[in-house]
Amino acid sequence: MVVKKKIHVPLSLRGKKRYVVFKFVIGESSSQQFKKDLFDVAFSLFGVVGVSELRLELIDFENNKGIIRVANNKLSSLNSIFCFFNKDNCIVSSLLVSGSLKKARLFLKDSC
Amino acid sequence: MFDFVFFQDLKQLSIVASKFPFEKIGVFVSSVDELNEVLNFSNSSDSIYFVPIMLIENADNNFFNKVRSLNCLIAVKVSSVQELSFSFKKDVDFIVPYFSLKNFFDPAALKKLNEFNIKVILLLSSISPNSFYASNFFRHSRFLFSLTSKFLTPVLFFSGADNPSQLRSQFDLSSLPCLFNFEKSLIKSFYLDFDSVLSNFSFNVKSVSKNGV
Repeated sequence: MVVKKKIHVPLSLRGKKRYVVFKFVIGESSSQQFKKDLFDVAFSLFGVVGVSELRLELIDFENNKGIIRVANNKLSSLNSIFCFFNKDNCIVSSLLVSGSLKKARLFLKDSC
Repeated sequence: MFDFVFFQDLKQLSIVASKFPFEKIGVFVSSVDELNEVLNFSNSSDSIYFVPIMLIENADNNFFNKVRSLNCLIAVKVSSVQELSFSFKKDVDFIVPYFSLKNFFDPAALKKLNEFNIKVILLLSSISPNSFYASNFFRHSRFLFSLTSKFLTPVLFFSGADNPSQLRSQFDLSSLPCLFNFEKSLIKSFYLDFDSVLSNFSFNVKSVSKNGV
């Protein structure tokens, strides 16, 4: 019997990422609505190719606070998306940038 | 943390600004009544320090002469070469560029800005929702930042909020020049430059008379 080995993508090929903790200073939103609005602003700012380079991913969202994953070298692009985010007069502001999800979640837990 | 905004309901502004939290806010005013209101409110509030900045539009020489006697911070709205040269002649504190189709900054202008110690404020609110004009704004600001990295003239993005919902955190705004591959260490030094102008400013409320302008 041939045992198939699971092939993992090496860490060096996955690309470095940053976890950004954010909050709604004014207004509120649901997880799905926020994700849609975020990508709307991102597409209007950077276009399809630009957004693909950002590798955006909404990790957590609860009580108008959450964590977004973004490519390491595109952190400033995410912050500029927050600058142009103006859906329903909401203000979104980043609170912390972390290299590990554990630290980001700890910060989010403490700030609640 | 600080920001530059337009004159608006200061009570609501201070409520929202305290959530960020901002320590200082520069408020663009266009009359002495507004200036008085900002000063009075700033004296009454403990948490945030509001600094009035008189904004001059259309290179109005008469208005500038009246305002100069008030001894307040002065900014000029610049959308042409003529208005830029007006700001050099009058030795103002800030200029607020409104980019039209043509760019009006060049190396000579940046040298003069350095010479007269004039700082440049780019406002996020001045970016038009029309994507053509927005891309034009970014094109000109990209050029301005490339000149800035050579001549080290303080240039930064601020919110320029008309209402409290347009306020943005300093951390997010400081990332905008990074989109143009601008150095982070320079951005930090520019924030210190702007901060020192707002901090060193002291205003004698009694010197302002309503009949002045």
